[in-house]
Amino acid sequence: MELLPLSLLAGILTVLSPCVLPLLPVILAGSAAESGRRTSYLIIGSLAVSVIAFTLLIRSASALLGVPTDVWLIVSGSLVVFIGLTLAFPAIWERISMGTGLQRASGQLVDSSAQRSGIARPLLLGLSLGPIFTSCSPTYGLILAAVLPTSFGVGVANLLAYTVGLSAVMLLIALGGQSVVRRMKWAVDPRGAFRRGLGGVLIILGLLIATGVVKDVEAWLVERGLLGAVVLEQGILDQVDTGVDEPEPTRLDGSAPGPQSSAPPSFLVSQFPGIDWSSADPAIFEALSGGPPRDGIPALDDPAFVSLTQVPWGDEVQSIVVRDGANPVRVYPYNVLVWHEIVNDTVDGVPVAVTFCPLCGSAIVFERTLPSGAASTFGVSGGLIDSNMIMFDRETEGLWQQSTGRSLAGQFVGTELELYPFQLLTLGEVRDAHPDAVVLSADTGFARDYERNPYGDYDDSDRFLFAPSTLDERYPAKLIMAAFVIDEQRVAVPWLALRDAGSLEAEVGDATVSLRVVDGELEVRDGDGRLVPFYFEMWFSWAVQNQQSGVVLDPS
Amino acid sequence: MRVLVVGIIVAAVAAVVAIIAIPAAPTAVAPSPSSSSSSGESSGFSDRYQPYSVDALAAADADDTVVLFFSAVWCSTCKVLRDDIAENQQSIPDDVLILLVDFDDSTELKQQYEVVYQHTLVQVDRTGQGIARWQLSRSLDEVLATIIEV
Repeated sequence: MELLPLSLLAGILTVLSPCVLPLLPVILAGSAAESGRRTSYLIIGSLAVSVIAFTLLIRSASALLGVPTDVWLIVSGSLVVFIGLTLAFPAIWERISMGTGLQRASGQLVDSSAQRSGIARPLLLGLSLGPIFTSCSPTYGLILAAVLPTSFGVGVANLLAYTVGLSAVMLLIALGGQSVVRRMKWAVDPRGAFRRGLGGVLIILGLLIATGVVKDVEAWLVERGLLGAVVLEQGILDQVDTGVDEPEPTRLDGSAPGPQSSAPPSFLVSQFPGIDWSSADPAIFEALSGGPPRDGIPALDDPAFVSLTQVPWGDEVQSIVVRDGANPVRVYPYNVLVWHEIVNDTVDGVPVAVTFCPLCGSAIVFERTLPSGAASTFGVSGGLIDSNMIMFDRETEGLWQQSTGRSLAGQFVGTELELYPFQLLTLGEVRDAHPDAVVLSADTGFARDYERNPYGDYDDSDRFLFAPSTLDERYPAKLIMAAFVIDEQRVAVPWLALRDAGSLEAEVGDATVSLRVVDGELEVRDGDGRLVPFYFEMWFSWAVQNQQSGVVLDPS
Repeated sequence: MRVLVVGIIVAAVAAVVAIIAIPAAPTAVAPSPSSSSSSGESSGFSDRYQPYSVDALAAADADDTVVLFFSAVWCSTCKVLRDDIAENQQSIPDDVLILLVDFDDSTELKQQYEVVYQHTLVQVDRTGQGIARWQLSRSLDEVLATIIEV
């Protein structure tokens, strides 16, 4: 509500602007022609009502948009001319009153009509100006553009404040005009030449309004740089915290992020017929088909492993590396994962799903034990949300988003899979540190060329197969981040920068977190020294989910 | 009260006469941003900043971003933006086209894009399909920063 006093001030300042030009002389002449202060209040009061009414009306009734500006000018101008005529030629006015034939006893005629016209004329004068008053105040514009659409009540309050300010100055002018006239005794006679003269002035003003000359004069003044209080007012608006947010542009093309689709995509409905979509997380409604259908990208269920020496792949190949108790570490190279995306395995007695989403570079190992306690294998659904893989559990056919581990549809909606610790190393690093490691075999039972990346240079190029809904430009879109959750806070760290720095300590909310990289192996510990599981993901993909509330730690 | 009744009748008659007498505003006609007598100084246009016309819009490239600037000749805030654009025309990117629309003369365009305020900007594609609408930009920079990526 900090805007209210400013709105009042803006109303007062408006009187210095060219856009009140049609109002000022009409008000001055109109009130000078009437006797009694009450008429001034009436003129200004009805003007205020008319201004507010038209402001709101034009905004709400788009049919009025079809009325050319000229029509409003002619309507207002004609009314002013009419009022001028009643003043300049009182005899005509009497005849109109008589001619309507509504009067009662002739004896009352003069009295009552004089009194009635005494109320009606100022009322009409004020009302006539509403349609053509278009404020040039930036504050008024702000109320219209930013406040009214978000809060009608606050908007109207500010509109009222603005109108009060405007009316107050107008009233002073009207009363001033009247008091000058009152001192000129000869002018008071209602049938007098002075009053007729004012009527003539109103007729001329009305004609100037109706013909649009008034707007030309305004334009002439504005063109000459006579912008009135606009610059001053804009300066105040810039200085003061109005509490009004810059409004977002209104989307006209229907592509607005506004109302989300409320139905699940048909390719998921047909392939997962058992899902109760009414309980699904609406995020799933945004899913796109990645191309291959359910299980079109085949997850591996009984992975075979061979010794390091038995695979020909180069030292530069990235791999997910998982410890297996006393057994040799298990290595899942990207060149195999990129074709299967999920490997259902058991390490150290724990059922895990080793997952990799090629389109968002996310490498994550989950425990594949469902909230019900049952272990399930996972498959690739074929759906994507912002390039990220949607997995499904074969036990209940529920859908899970890989990057968050969260269930989006099925009986566990809202729950998350537990993360399982792993390292991201190159085969070269594995050969150095774990010469006895076992590697996922190329003998997967599927005919795939593991020497070839089906996504080409996707990791290193700027292009996307599916454009992300938002791009956070703080980092290159495909930069790999190390990510973890501490104290319910999602955190990301640029992985290569962290490797170079070697260690990082930071406060995240109330929690302390320390990160250490030794020989390419990452260790994340919380303030109590407990290990925190982590995963890796391309920046754009992490940011799509966590741009608002996620925390980025940068070692550099 | 009789004055009120008669006044309303006068207004109604005037409205009818006005609507009949004024032909539908020819929106295709290029409006001048300044009254004809003073078109000299700051109204200079270029191929990136022109008065609106159907042809000017159609001449836009398929990749161009087109912004219709609804502006009234009597509107002071519009004048501030008009001057800023005219002065900084050279910094309008090659793929942006700003077309000046006279608020008072363009009833059809106002209806099409629901423009209710004299200082309004509407982003459209070259077919005239509306993309976004906003008000009260003060400078060319502000206009360019508000343009929505499509």
